[in-house]
Parts: sequence; structure tokens; C-alpha cells
Amino acid sequence: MISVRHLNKTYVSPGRAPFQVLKDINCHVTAGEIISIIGPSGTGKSTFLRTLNLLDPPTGGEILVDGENILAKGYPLNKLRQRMGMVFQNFNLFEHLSILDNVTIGPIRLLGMTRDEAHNEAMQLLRKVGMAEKATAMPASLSGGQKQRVAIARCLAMHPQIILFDEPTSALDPTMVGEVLSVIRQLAKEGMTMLIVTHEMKFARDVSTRIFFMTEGVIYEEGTPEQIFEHPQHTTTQTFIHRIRSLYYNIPRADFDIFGIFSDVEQFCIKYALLEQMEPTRHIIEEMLMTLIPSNQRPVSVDINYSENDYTLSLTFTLPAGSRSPLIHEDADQLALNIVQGMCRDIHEEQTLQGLLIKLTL
Amino acid sequence: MPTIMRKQVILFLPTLLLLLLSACDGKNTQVEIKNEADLAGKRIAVSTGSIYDLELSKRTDILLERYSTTPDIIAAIKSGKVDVFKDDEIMLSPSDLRRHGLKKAFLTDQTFDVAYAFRLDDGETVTLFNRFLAESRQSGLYDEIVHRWFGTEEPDTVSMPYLSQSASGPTLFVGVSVLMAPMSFREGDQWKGFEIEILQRFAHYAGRPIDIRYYDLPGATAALHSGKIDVLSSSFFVTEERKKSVLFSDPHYVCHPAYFVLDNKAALSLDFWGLLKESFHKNLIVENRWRFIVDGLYETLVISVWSLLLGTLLAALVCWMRMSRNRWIRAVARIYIDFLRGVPLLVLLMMMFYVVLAQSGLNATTVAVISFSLVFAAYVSEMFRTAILSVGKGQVEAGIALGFTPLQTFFYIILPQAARAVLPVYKGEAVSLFKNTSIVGYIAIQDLTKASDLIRSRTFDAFFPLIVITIIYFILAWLLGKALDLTIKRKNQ
Repeated sequence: MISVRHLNKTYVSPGRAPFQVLKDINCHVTAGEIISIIGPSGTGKSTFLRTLNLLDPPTGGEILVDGENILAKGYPLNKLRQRMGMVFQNFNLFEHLSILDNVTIGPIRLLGMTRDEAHNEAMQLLRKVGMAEKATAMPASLSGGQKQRVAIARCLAMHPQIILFDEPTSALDPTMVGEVLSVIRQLAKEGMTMLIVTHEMKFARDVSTRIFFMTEGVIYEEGTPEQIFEHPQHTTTQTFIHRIRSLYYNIPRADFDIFGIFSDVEQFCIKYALLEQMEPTRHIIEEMLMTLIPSNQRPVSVDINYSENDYTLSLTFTLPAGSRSPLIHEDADQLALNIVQGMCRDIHEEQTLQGLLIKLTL
Repeated sequence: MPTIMRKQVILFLPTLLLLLLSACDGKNTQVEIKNEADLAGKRIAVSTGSIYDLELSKRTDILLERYSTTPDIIAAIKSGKVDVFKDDEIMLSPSDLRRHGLKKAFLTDQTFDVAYAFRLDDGETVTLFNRFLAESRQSGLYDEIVHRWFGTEEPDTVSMPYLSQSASGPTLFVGVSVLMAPMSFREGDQWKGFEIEILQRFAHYAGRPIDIRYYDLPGATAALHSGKIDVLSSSFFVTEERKKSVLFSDPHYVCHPAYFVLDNKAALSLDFWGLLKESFHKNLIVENRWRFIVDGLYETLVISVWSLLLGTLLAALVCWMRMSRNRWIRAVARIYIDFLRGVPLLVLLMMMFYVVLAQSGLNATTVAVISFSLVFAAYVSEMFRTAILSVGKGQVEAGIALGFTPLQTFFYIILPQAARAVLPVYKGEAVSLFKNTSIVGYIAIQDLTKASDLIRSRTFDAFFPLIVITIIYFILAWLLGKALDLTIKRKNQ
């Protein structure tokens, strides 16, 4: 159905070095497949999805849909997009239209359906995603999970042959993730062809026929859910599978938003049921960034990782290469040092090419 | 009438009435002025840039106040803002003086020649005019005209002798910038007065049809130079300085300036309601003066509505250019916007009428519509742009991903949302455009504001006509806002 050959995508912005997001991607998708694309943030998963319907045109390679190169000049892209639905991370419901009109605008304007036909079918679809009673509501009055379900109904109304899901649950509160995932599961049962970029590992494992593990712009490893989750071949895949829960900050300058970080840490801990670790994590970050690491040692990055395999939470601080360790410094604030040491099970320091790594395990 | 409007009107009216009252109360104590020396320490009103202005500004012992028209000066002395004013003796007839409670303080021993102004290169017409004037003086026609207009106590009631219009020959375009009986004034649609009659007789003599329009003085000289008018009739004093820029005819009149003061003995004894009733009658009913208001309103509405429509279309175009991918088109749009937002509206209007489009043959109303549309487009295009940008990028992507073309996405998805976002600011700009049309009087259009000036020039009542048009402007601006609200509401359904 879709063949991708030597796909490349490079962002060129004036005054900056060109940035290659996708590097020589090759893959094939056949009808009926449900493929989850997993991998660390910022490795081109979403971009890959968006090149498939040319929301972000690739800079090289070719994409064949039913044997035709869609990058060829004059290819009817609008028709292609009508057959290739897309569900966005931020839902993107049309804010000025009611729920019903959001679902019917495509069929009426593009498929030439009458208002009644479109209306009836839309109500069926809304019933299917459990949103029929909100048909007359405006998008602004819905919760995130409800919006995403409407977005799926809007997509289905165009009778797509394939649906691209771009992190459909990433913008949702944890309590709403379930309702959206169960709608997608239902579609999977009905045999809809789908490509899903997701961070929901359990879901990906359950629902998919195949998994693409992407990192640094390439499909690094692909296989059945069992192959990828149980027996990953490459170490990068293994590390990812094991420490998928992570939060990362880069602090380039002396001043930074400590409260923003606190709030994210709080969210992170709630999301992964780490309520007991919430306070210690906040204390360690505060002592490290505010007291122990001098404000002239920048950039500093903080990587908070939680492995769901062995249930360990670790914080890795990266200081500029050649920095002296703030933990064995003779002038170090003893109180702060005691707090940090008291809260950690293990402290590991290492000079690497990237800089001084300090890994604190709780 | 909706409640909210009633409330606004109820709040608004007392303010206006208070204004009227305070104006009526402004009588000053009697000033005894018998000669030039008595003027010391007094506040004296003159017309801006007039000979009196030039002459009196050399005196350091007086306070000089400058006003643009004689009705303004009379209003100023009646409300006690000045003590005395200087003007041609003949300008205020005994009946005028009585009506306004004024009296002549003393007559100066100065005299000034008054003549018509022609273009410097139009010696031919001037020669012809001078011959006509000389022949009239000999034949007694001139004396007859003088007697008709100056020999009466009530020049307002004099009727113009009928003269048939010559159909052949080029039209003689006359600009008048003085509206005062007995020199030149209007009764309904008809021009009347001493200076008007002479010019009409001259046009007849020369075998040319005549076209008379009112111009503000600054605009009038520009109109003369740019060829929009052939003769400027403005009770001009002949001075050496003026001779450098215009060609004067032989003097058709000699002016004796006098000083005027309030005559307290003639103070009006009417109460407030009586005054209001009299004002209403005098300003709107006599000579069907309400016609000025109706005609002016029509002109104001025509300019506003056309400017609004054309300006909005042009704004859409400029907005499109401003958001174009081509950086040259973008640059053109940006320069356009910066330029038009950086030039005062009135200056732009005069520039368009007297310089840029002077030779185009377009009438003043068209020029006004063009100018207002250009400026409106410059402001509104930026509003459109920010409104379009305020619609999230996700909306565009959702539209495209659903299979809409970029154009369809714009019309079905972006435009309805942008329209909703832009409405409040657009409404404000539209109302402000409507109000700004009040400056078109500068290019000889008789709009609503000018209508009040025309009435004031006849009645010397400074307040009533202004209050009438204030109320009209207010109500119309309010209605315009409501109408725009409704249009958008319907569009969204």
C-alpha cells in the first residue's frame, strides 16, 4: 500500500547549519497493518508521519502509494489526503464549528454528500466514539479526551484507507488517555490500517502488528511487538525500552525557571505513580541547581529517568567537560551536600566527551 | 429603540443642554470703546491671516484671538471669550447687529481695496473683467448693484435678479470662501450677494456658464492654483504680497473696517426653552435650512459607505500582499501601510485633491472616497493580518490533512475564525472612518459638518447646528456598529 524509499528530510534555516531529521528511511506498509512508531523524543517520529501525507514535504527519496509516486509533479495530493486521515496531538478541531459540523464539513465539501447523508453518518460515527450527545456542543467546551475522540470521528467520516496518528494521547491528562486508546483499539479490531506514533508502550505492544523503533532519524529496529519488547536486538533499543519514562532539561544560562521544572517533575511523578519520590526529586534538583552547581557552569542538563523494568528513578546532571565535581568541592555547601547524599542510593560520576556526568540514583 | 441606546441618549442629552446653557450665560460686562487707544488691554477677535490679523499682531498692548470665520467670531463675542472684534463695516447690517445684540464701537479711518483673485497666467479673463467693471460703472449698473445689497437693512431678504445662463463657452468656475450677507451667502440652493451678482453678470457678459462652489480659504487658494477654479471670490484685500501669487482684478469694492462690541441694552430676554425654540426655528425651519442637514448627511453617508466597501476590499488585497511569499510584493505592501499610516488624514486628503488627482477630472466626492479607502485599507489590512495569524497553525494543518486545498482551507476554516477575531477592532475602525469624513469640507464637499457651518454662517448661532449634527453623528455611529455586529452574526450561522 505504501512504500517508502530512501526518504530524507533536512531542515534548512538561514544562518544555521542544516539539520537532517530523517535519514534514508525505507519501509513498507501493507493494508490491514497496525504499526506503532516508538522512540525517544525529537528523533523524527512525527516528522516521518507528516512526510507521508506531505504536510512536511520530504527533501529526498520517494513515497509510493498504490504504486504511484506521490512526490511526482501534478499528483492529486488533496485526493490522497482524503484517503489518508490524520489525527493530531493537539486535536485541531475547527474551533468555529460545532462537533457535528466538524465531522460533516469534509464529507459535504469534499465528498459531495448531501447535508442529510453526512449528518446521519456523522451521528453514527459520533455514537461509535461515544460523543453523540455532544453533537451540538462547540469544541471549546470539551475535555481533551473528548476532543480527540471527535477528531477521530472527523477522520473516519472521510472513509480513509489509512489513518496516521501523531501522538494522539500526548497532550492528554493521564485520566483521559484510556478513553482515546480504547477507541483506537476498537478501530484496530475492525481492521483499519493505522500508523501510530506513541509513547504508550503497553498500548503499542497490545495493539500493533509491527513496531518501528526510531532514533536519530532512522528506523533503527523493526519487528513484531514481541521481538521489540522482549528481545530487542540493539542496545539502543534495549535502553529505550527499559528507560522510556524520562524528562529532560537543558539550562543554557545562569537564570532558569526552577518552578517550571518543579511543576513538570510533579506531573511526571503523578503520571508514573512516583508520589513518594516526588519530594526527594524536587529537593535534589533544587540543591543541585541552586546551591551545588555554580551558576557560571553552563550549560547544565538534567535528565530524569524512570525505568519501569526495575522501578528505579535516576537523575543525571551533565556539566561542561572539564568541570570540577560540585560534590567533592572543598567549598561545597555541606548542608546541601548532606541532603543530596542522604536521598540517593547511589552517586556515580564520570568524565565523558559530552562533559561531566553525575548520575544520582534514588 | 433598544434600552441601551435609550440610556445612552438620556445620559448624553443633559450634557449637551448644559453646554447650551453655559453658552447663553456667557454675557460680559459692558466695554466702553470709542477709539484705537481704548483697545488697550482688550481681547480682540480677528479672522486668521486677515489684514486685521497682520495689522493688530504688531500691537503689544492687546490680546489677539484668531478665528477662522465670522460666525465663529460672533459666537466668541457672544459667549464672552473676546471683548471686541474688527470687521468690514458693511458685513453686519443693522438688523444683524440687533439680532445678535451687537453694536458698532467706532469706525476706523482705514480703507482697503477689495478685488477678485485670478490665476497669474489668466490675464485675458482679468482684462475682460476689468472692462466689464468699467462699463458697469459708466452705465449705472454698478450703482444699482451696490444699492440693492448695501442700501437695505435686511440684505437676507433681497432677491437675486434673474439672469439667463449662457450655454456656450467654457464654464467659469468660481470659488467662494466667504459666507456672509451681503457679500456672498446661500439661501437654500441659491447663491446670493453683492460679489455673486457681479460675477454672474460678468459670466453673462462674457457668454460663459457659471459654476459656484464653497471652498475653505486655505483650500480655495490651492484650488485656484491647481486650476479647479478660475476666480476666487473671497472679499480679498489687495496687497503687494498677494499680488505675487494671484492676479487681482480692479477693485470692485472699498472696505471700511470698524470695531464691534456687545450691546448689553439689546440683551435677549428669552428664557431657556424660548431660546431653544427660537434656535430650532431659526436654524432648521427658516428658508428650509434643514435641507442643508439632509443633503450633508447624504454626502457623508455616500462617502462613508463607499469608503468602507472599497477600503475593505483593498485591505484584503493589501493583506494578501503583506502575507505573500514574494518578498518584493511584501515590501510594497509594507511601504504602502507605513506611508499611509504616517500621513495625517487631512493632509492626505488635500494632497490628493489639490496635487495628485488635481488634473484627473474626478469630482471631490470621488477623491474623498479614494483617500479614505486608501487609509482605511492601510489600517484594516494589518488587522486582517493579525486576525489571520491568530488562527492557529493546527487549524490549517487539520484542513489540509482532511483533503482541502489551501484555498478551501482559507475560506472554510481560517476566514470564519479570523472574521470573528477581527470584528471588534474592525468595528472601531469603521466608526472612526465614518467620523473622520467630517474633514471633507476642506475639499469643498458639503457634508454634514459643512452643513452646520453653512447654517451657522447664516444664523451666527454657534451651538445649535453643532448640537444637531453631534446627535446625528452619534446615532449613526452607534447604528453602524450595530449593523456590523448583525452582519457578522448572520455570517456565522
